[in-house]
This record gives sequence, C-alpha cells and structure tokens, in this order.
Amino acid sequence: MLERRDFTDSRLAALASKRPLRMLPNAVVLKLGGQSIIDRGAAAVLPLLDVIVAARPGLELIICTGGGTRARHAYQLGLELGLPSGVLARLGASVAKQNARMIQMLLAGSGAVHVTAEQLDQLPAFLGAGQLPILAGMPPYGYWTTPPAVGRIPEFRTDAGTFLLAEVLGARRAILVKDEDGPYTADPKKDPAARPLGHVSTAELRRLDLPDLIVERCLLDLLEGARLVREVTIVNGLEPQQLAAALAGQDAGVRIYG
Amino acid sequence: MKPPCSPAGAWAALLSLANYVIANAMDKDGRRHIASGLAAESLVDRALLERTAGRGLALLPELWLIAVGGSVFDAGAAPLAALAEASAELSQQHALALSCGGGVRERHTLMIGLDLGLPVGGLAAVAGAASEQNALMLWALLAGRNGVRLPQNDLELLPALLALGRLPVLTSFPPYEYWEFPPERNGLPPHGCDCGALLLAETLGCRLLLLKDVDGLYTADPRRDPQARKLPRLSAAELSDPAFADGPLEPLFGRILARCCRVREVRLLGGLEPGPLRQRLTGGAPGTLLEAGHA
Repeated sequence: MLERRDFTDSRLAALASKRPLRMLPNAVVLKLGGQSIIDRGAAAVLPLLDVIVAARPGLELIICTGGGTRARHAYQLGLELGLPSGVLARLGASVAKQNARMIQMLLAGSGAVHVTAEQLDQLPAFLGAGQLPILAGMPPYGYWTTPPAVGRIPEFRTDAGTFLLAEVLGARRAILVKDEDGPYTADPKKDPAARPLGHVSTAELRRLDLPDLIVERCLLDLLEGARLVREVTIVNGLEPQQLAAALAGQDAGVRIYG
Repeated sequence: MKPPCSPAGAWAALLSLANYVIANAMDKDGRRHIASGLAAESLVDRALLERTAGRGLALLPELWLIAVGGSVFDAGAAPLAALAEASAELSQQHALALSCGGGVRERHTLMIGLDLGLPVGGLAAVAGAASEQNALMLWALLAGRNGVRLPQNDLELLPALLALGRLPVLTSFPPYEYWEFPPERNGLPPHGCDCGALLLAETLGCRLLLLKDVDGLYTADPRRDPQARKLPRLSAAELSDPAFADGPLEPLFGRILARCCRVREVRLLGGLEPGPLRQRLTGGAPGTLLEAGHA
C-alpha cells in the first residue's frame, strides 16, 4: 500500500527544480483587448485581423479575447446586487466568449476555430491542421475564483488568462493588443501629463506603485513566478503595423518582463 | 425639435435620434461604451476597486459544506462508511453537501507528472481525477440514501438539490486546470482540494468543515511531538506562518482565507470517525476554528 510519507512536500520539491516541458515552443499567444479594441468595432478590429491573416503563414498563432464594456456593465450590476467575485467571474467570462465567437466568425475564412477550456488538449491538432484557434481569454476559475485583494471584481481576468495559457504551453511569446503604447506613469486617457515608461520590469512597476496600470496587476506576480514565459509585449492595436512587426518577430511594442 | 409631419420626416427624425444615441455611446476616441459606473474605467485603478469593496450577498448561508479530505478516503472503507452514514442522517436535519478530496492518488499523479516535467497547469489538469474518483465512490455509497453526484459544471443546481432534500456530492479540486498559477516552492499546483473547498465556500457564503485524518491544528506535529497542543482557533494571518507550511493544509490556504469575507465559518476537524462532525452540527466546537480575514 502506498504510504502518505512517500509523497511529502520535500520529496516533491526535489522534483520541482526540473525545468518544465514546453508543449508548443513556437506558438504565439495574442490577446485582442475588449474595451481597448473589440468595443471599437470594425474600425479597429478589421485592420488588425488583416494583419493577423497576412502574418499567419508559418506562424502558430492562438488568439484570446478580452471582455470590455459589456463585462463592465454586468460587473456593475452584479456589484450593486452584492454578488460574490466567483459569480462576477462567470459573468465576465461570457462576454469574453461572445467576443471569441465574433472573432472566430470574422476569421472563418482563415480556418478559425473557437476552442473552449475543455478542448485545450486539442490545440496541437488544430495548429497542426493549419487552423487558427480562438479562445475566450478569461481563465476557467468561475465560482472557484480567488477573492481579490481589493474590492470584488475578479483580479484574474483576460490578461492573466492569456498569459497563463502562454505559460502552460511554453509559448514563444505572449502579446497583449491594447490601445496604448505600454504602461504610462498615469492613465493617458485621463492625465495629459502621463509619460510612457517604455520597456519595464515588474520590479520597477512595483517600485513605482502606480494607482493604475495597463495590465491586470496580478500579471506582475505571474510574470515573476512563471517558469517558461517571462515577459509580455503590449502592442498598440490602433497602429496595426505595430502588430505586424511584432508578429514578424521584430522588436515592436513595449515589453513588461519579470 | 420640429415634430415630424410626414413618413419621410419621421424616418429622418428616427435616424437622427439613432445617430444621437450612437454618437453618445462612443467615447471621443471611438470606443462604444454602455453607460455604467464602470464604463470606460480601468478595472485596475486602485481607487475604483476600493469603491467595490463590501461583503454583499451570501448565496447559501445555511449550507454546511463538508470537505472530506483525501486522507479520510485513504484511511479505508470503515471510516468512510461511517462518515457516509452519519452524513446521510445529518442531512435530514441540516443542509449538507459533501466535497471530496484526492489524497494519495492525487499526490502520486503530481509526483509522476513532476518527474515527467509537466508544467504546473498540466499537473493541475490531470490531478483532479483522484478527487472525482473519491466523489464517485462516496456517491455510490450514498446512492440509496439521497446522494446525488453534482459535477462542477452544474453547480447552479445545488440549491435545487438541497431544496429536494438531497445530499449533493461534489469534488473539491478546483477547475484551475491549464490556467493554474505558478507553483509554490514545492513545485505543486497551489490550488489543491483545501483551497478548492474554501473558494467554493466563499462564493456560496456558507460554512466549511474540513474533515482530515488529524483532529485539528497543533502547535507542533502531534505524531512526533507528545507536547504538541491543539489550537482551538487560529487566524488566517497566523495560519500563513511558515511554521504551518508542513501542516495538514495547503500553503496557499491561509492566504486565500485572509481575503475571504463571505464564508461563515471555516473549521478543521477529525474525519476518521463521525463524532466531530455530529458534535459541530449539534452546537459543539470540535477541532480548530480558522478565522477568515473579513476584510
């Protein structure tokens, strides 16, 4: 009979130092922002999809989608009703899923396929067949969502979901397409004096302790703890050539590194 | 505005109204917003997040979520049968749901997975099977006693099952799957069955009893140190102390507990015989009370 002491933390820790497997080392995981991109409609989305279609030959691309204003509307109502974060997370997830389905339809002619969390192990088959997987960016925690450090809106949303997907796959790159040139000293939409920070480390972002940030704050912890993917690239999707350059492997966009 | 007096005029007025609505729904830089307190806001803004704090609604405050630890399953048939019998009986009087841990097969899975070099999300995606097997076994034991196996995807049916007087049997291992957080120092997925049960209890706003092969938390390991004293209560902050890192709860448990504000009671008690469970449901205070943050 197996004894519990055969599986103590110290015996496991000895194994834990191994570098994990990279399942899809050539994959690029890209998120299209909800409020920042998809809520702008055709004017912002279609030029980016043109870039994606043009860049795709030879590229293992996986697209995740954000939520946006409908998620915010649902969160607001949920907050007023006193609903817990676990329920809010489910509400947010369904908006990201709507967006995933919309992007899938737009890219249907390029072999786009909507992939759910349950189908994740089919990703290699989809990519191998030259298809273009589209996922809702929200992680599948649902009712098991971690209570946030501050307030009640789930902390781990589509930035975190996209990054963790890239991490588990051991992807080459994680790209977040938003509507700014990376992090600023303040929200540039509200503060005209805000300055762009350029490429920046999580340590520097922690030191600055900004009241607002272009990525979910939990991403700093994830970047520092991750074993395989140690940076994300923020691309300004209002300039589609930035995405084209990033997908071509050039040094485009702004990197946040752990 | 002049009232429309012809069909063409009415059409034009309608169009201008539609344009007005669309124009007002567009941010000056082209984003279409729905008016709400969070519209156009960054959900990372600390001041905004602070405004969303508050305890809010408890979904199932009368529920006792009984997390049967993997160690109880690993102890064999007799303790499990006794616990199932007691749960079935107690569920006549109280709203009870059983949530099943993984135990030694879960840890074996993790060990093999780690040795094979799987990433932490890959480990999380396979390790939950032990919790499911245990739930199936407990369901089979309770099939003639109102037991209903409730998969995580059907959680919304929980209140209906309770209202029908059924005894739902759930799995504790949470659905973090491939999206699991980076590993703790031990290399393991941070969210195991203890964390899973706590996260669900927090969302439901219910009470959580963690049944283990120890009857509470001690000042030291009671199996090695005869001087070890059982603690009647412990705060989330105290639980996060490294001294408890090798204790019966997952390292992340205390940190999640510190953030919890809805779960009504969290208590660790002995599960190798049904006494402590009965005792708690009849007003006693066995085991160790773990105090949530209630921030």
